[in-house]
Amino acid sequence: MRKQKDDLLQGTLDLLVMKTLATGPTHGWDIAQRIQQVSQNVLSVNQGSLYPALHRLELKGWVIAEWGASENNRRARFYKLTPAGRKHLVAETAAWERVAGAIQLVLAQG
Amino acid sequence: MILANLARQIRAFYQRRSLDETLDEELRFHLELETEKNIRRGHSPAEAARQARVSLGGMVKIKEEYREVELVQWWLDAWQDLRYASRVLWRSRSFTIIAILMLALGIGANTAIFSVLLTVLIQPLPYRDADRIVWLSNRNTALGVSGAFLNPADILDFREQSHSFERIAAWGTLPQNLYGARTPERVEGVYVTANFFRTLGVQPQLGRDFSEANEPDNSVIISHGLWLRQFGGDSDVVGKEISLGLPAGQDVLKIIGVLPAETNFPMRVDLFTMAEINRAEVDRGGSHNWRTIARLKPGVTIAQAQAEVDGLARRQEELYPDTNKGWQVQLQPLRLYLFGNSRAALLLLVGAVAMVLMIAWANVTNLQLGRAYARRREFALRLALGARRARLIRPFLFENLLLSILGGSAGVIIAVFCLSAVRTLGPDSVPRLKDASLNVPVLLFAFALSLLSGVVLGLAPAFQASAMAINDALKHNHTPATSSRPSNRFRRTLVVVQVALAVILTTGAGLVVKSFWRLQAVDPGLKADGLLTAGLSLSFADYPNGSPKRAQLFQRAIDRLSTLPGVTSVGAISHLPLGGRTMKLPFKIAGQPNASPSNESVADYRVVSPSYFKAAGISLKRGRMFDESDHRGAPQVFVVNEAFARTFLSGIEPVGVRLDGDAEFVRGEIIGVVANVRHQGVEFDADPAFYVSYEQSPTFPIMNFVVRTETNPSSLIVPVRRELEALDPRGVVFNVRPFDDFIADAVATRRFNLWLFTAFGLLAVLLAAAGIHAMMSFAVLQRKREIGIRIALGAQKHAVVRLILAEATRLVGLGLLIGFCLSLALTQWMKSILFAVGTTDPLTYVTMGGLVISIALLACWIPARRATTINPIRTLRAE
Repeated sequence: MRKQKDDLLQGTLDLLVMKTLATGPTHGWDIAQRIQQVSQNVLSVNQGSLYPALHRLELKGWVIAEWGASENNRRARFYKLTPAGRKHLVAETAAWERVAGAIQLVLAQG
Repeated sequence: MILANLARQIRAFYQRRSLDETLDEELRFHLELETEKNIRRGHSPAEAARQARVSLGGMVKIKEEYREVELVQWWLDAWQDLRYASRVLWRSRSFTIIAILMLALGIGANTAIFSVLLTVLIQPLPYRDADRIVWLSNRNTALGVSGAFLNPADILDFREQSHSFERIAAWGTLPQNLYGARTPERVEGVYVTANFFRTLGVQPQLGRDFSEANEPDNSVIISHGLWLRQFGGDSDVVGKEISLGLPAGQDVLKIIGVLPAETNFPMRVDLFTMAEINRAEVDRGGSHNWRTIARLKPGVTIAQAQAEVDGLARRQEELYPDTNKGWQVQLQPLRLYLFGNSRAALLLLVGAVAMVLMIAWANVTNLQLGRAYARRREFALRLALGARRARLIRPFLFENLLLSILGGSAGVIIAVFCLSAVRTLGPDSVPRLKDASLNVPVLLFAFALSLLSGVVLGLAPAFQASAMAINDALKHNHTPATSSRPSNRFRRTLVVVQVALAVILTTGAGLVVKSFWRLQAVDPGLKADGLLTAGLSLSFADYPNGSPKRAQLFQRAIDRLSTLPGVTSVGAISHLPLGGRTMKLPFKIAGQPNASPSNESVADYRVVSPSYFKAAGISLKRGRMFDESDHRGAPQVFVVNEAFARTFLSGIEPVGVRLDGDAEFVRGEIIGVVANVRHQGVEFDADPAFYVSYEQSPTFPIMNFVVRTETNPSSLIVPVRRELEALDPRGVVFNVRPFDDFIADAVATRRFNLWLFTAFGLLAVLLAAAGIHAMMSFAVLQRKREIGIRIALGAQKHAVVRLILAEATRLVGLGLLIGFCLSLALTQWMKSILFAVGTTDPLTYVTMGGLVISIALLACWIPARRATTINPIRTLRAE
């Protein structure tokens, strides 16, 4: 279990985080939950590395963070995709799909 | 506007500091939610919290990673920004070259001047604990004397009674003929007290110092330069004997030491003989003829020593009122005494180059602001896309840092040229000036200045970019019809500042130029054109005091020189005007009440050939000049200068007045009055002087011949030297050079100031003009639409030009006004380097103001003309 989490590549984590944020702003814990849910618990996010990843995206200008109120009215830091982030997500997704498609092709032939 | 931005930047900085707290809070929130989730799954609260912590991982590790992300990102961004900056600079090459050139001029000039400042003023003197050496001088307010040398009796008193000093040493100058080495040479000599080198803190490089007890009278220490020149750097030189051509008994000297190369005291001195001051021989009322230095005891301040010496001087006044009344002693650091004169000029130059650099900064900033304006949409877009402001600012900083480093590097090259110019053009009168070079501290200075430039230049555009309102720039995708944005106000301010600085520098330069003109116009009192001088120094032993042989030989020299082709007349004088030496003798006016010994009359004493006044072109004002009747044995007669007549004989007919005095050779009758000749320097009024014919004086064994020629005096240097050398085997010929050279030397420092201040003034005007040109070109570009509309509505060309020039005139006028006000305040500091020009000389101000205005308006004219060529249709359609 632990091993699997570490295998999640950095770029992949960034991509997943941004994909999650594409549906709307939310906070860190929620991002972790959603990635797990959506991937039917196959991908388990190392929750510890989620925050540095979010900060990296923030520094790159792809997400911005703001303090807001959570569902049960607690102070939480909400992350939101910037237009630049959205553009980057589209590009990265396309690239990812190309690579994944190619790998699939190779695997199907073998 | 800028302040508000600054505040925002500072807030952002402190917000960064609280990043840790933010992360803590965020992680706490995460743990709470995770724990709640675990509880919902049926875990006990404690277990739920534990599992939450496990799934999150170590807090320390997260924080580490967090910081690592920041660091990595910083370097990535920095690298990207640097590449971006170099790409941008490469794309706009013409801007880059102009900016680098401006910065190079500014940084280069500053680096060169810093190097000079460091070498001349800051570097310690080449003596041990040099800051403990003080220079002592005499002052007598009642007599109007200051900076005088000390009386030997007073020196002995201070030595015996003071406790502030380790040693007090004194010396006097005495040029000598040197025989017994390679070639006879006339050398600069000094006689020093035995403790001189210990006071100075210098050890001979070879041999030994004078012993402070029982040093033989004939011991001599020579300079490193003389050692190389006359003894070939031979290490056996210690113990060798040299001759000065003096009468037996004082003639032969024994070399006991050689000084190290860097000891060049106080100027170029080659021969140090010893002369002790003995109580038995000193005359309290005698002359103030000893130059005096002292070494302070460790821990004693100059103020404490001054207080002690003041007390001693007061006691002397009480004990010896006849001789010491009113005399005070002033202490100052030796360095200040040696370099004090160059200090004011150097500090002014530092100020001037600093202003040049500021103008360069203003220029590049102005250009950068223009470029930032052109790129505003790009920035607005990036801001809108979520780029953080810090990321937007950094490329500017990098770009300007890159520019500044490149400018600084080019500046170092410029500094190299400046320094080599300083070495060739610089005056010899500024000590150590020619040692100025590009060493490590100077290079560090240039580098620091480059970094500073980068920061200064980066500030304004960075603030502007960060202050940009996104909507503003994006929505108004056309240029505004008029130019009233705050950034323009800032750029206009820059232009005003530039003009003001240029005005300050040019008025300063103007004052220096006018001083030099005034100096050139000074009548030295003799006709310098076509005059060649040559010195002949005889051996005292061969031509003893009182011997008629001296005058006979000098007469023979004059006769032989007169026969040279191209020579019209020849004269001789003991102390050449501007030659750097003088001799003052006390005298009385017969029939006038005796002055007390402490304020007896003194005047310059000159021995001349009867032909001197004619050859030198000095005009007779009253009476007659010397002639053949004034021979040896005839009644003693004198010719005095006008200063003498005015000072001592005001209201009396000078011709016929008798002079009297203790010495026999000052007793005689005045037969004529001649015009003043400036002797000490072109800028100093002539002192009272009396002349005597060498037939009637125990003449000096040294004469300076003045040869009036019909041709270029330089062409006679070789034959004149040959004739004089042929006269006597032990006669040393020296200083064979046109008299113009002496005048050039006398004004060399001022000429150097003239070059520097003029260069910096011109540079300032040109840089400012470039800045105004850039500003106005940009303004025209910005107002294209407005101008287009005006032209479309039928505005005439001259109206458009007037529109543009009106704004420029306002800015230049304001700059001029501010510049004048600052000049009036700042030129006060120039007093000491000006000559015969007031610091508020109206003509200079008007001329220089006019110059700045003309150049500035010329710089505006070009963009104004361009404005008239705007095609309204194309301009308006482009919107």
